[in-house]
Amino acid sequence: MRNTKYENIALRHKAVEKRGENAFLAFMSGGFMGMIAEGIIEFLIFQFHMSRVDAATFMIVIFIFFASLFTALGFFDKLVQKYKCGLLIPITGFAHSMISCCLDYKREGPIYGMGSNMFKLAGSVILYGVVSAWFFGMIRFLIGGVG
Amino acid sequence: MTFYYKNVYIEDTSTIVGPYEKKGPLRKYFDKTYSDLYFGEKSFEKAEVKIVKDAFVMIMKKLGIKKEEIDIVIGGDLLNQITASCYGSVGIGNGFVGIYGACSSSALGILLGANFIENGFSKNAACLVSSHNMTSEKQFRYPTEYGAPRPDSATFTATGAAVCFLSNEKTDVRVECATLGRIIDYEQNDPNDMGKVMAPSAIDTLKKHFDETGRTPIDYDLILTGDLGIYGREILKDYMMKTYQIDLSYNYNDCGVLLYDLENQKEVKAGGSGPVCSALVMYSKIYDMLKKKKLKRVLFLATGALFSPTFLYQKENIYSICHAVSLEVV
Repeated sequence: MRNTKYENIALRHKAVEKRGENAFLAFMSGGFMGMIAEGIIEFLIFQFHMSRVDAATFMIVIFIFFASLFTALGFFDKLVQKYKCGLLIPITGFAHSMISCCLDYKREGPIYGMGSNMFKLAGSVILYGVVSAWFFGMIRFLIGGVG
Repeated sequence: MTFYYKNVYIEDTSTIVGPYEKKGPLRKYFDKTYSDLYFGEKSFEKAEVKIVKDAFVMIMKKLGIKKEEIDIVIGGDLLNQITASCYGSVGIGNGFVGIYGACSSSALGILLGANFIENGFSKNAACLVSSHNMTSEKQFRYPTEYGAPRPDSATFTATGAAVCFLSNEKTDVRVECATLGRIIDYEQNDPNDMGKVMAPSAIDTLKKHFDETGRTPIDYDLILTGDLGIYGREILKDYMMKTYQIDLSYNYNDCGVLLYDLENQKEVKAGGSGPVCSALVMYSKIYDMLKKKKLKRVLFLATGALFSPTFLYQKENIYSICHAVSLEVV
């Protein structure tokens, strides 16, 4: 049964989340990540004479590498706790979710452990990402034709 | 459902803790502390089994007894199939009872052990509880290395193992009575606010205990709940006062709040949780104070959330349960 009296009393002793502060931190950390990304792209274009598209791809690979490395070294989760979800919104969050699942199940072996659990969190993103890509691709095709 | 005991005593306790509890205010009361979460083992699950074994070794060393001299082992933890208790208790005692009461297992273990002893079925009982922050994170929440920011109302599963050794031989501290709780459904469904989930069961058992024994909070030097955290603690106090006019303002506290230094250990958020959280506070500092006769009678309410991630995803509520044990100086 739902106890309204209990709910009312509990409401009075509810934890007050610092939503504004958290959002600001996430905004700043996300922006900082974007700034680093832009720096990497500019560096690659300037140093290796890449096209902007290629440089962006390399930047993503570099981000995935460092997010995975920091997760494996055990401090990426602490950074996220501190600087909030700004660190998770870019591609790093995806890498982080896969590597953390992977690490959790490394003792169960490569098949029953890492293999079957790696996509525990990322699986939904991949599945619905692919499905929606197909769906919207289809709409675009039906409306606009090929090309 | 209150049982009275005349012949059940606490012979000794043992407490083994991990790094977060080591940094807490009760550090000097623990028997053994570790600085990392693996304890020299290869996985967190094996690490939990290791501290369970450590807790048994410690209690046997303290009492100077052998494995075979323990009559009954009653053990509970949070892992699936209560693995830590089963694997850690192998070869110890002459009988094993595995229990699951989530975080209420500590009081449930004492209650069952006391019933065995009071009725003369056994001479002694070792009541074990354990939990490990990382194994329960993995089982109930996110992967251990996954950095999902947690809200301030969330609690932190304590790492440790604790044994309370009950016997029919007279010592300074006795188990005086115990109230068995029932499962409560207040339509709670936020796994990040366990204090609010479990407070209704604490309210129910506390009220039942006072009704059945005819006592009031004044009859106890200290009333402790298991792991309601700072917010759950205030809900309980407020609700008891407003609904039943039972004033808990001067001799009530919560083990989850006492186990950590909430000011400096920000990662624990609202406080500690897990079966071992209440046991670590009770079997260390509180037991010590009872032995030194600084406290005369303590009521200990271990609260447990019967939380299943599967059922939560299937839109079921989280139920809770709470058992009460009263300890008294002889």
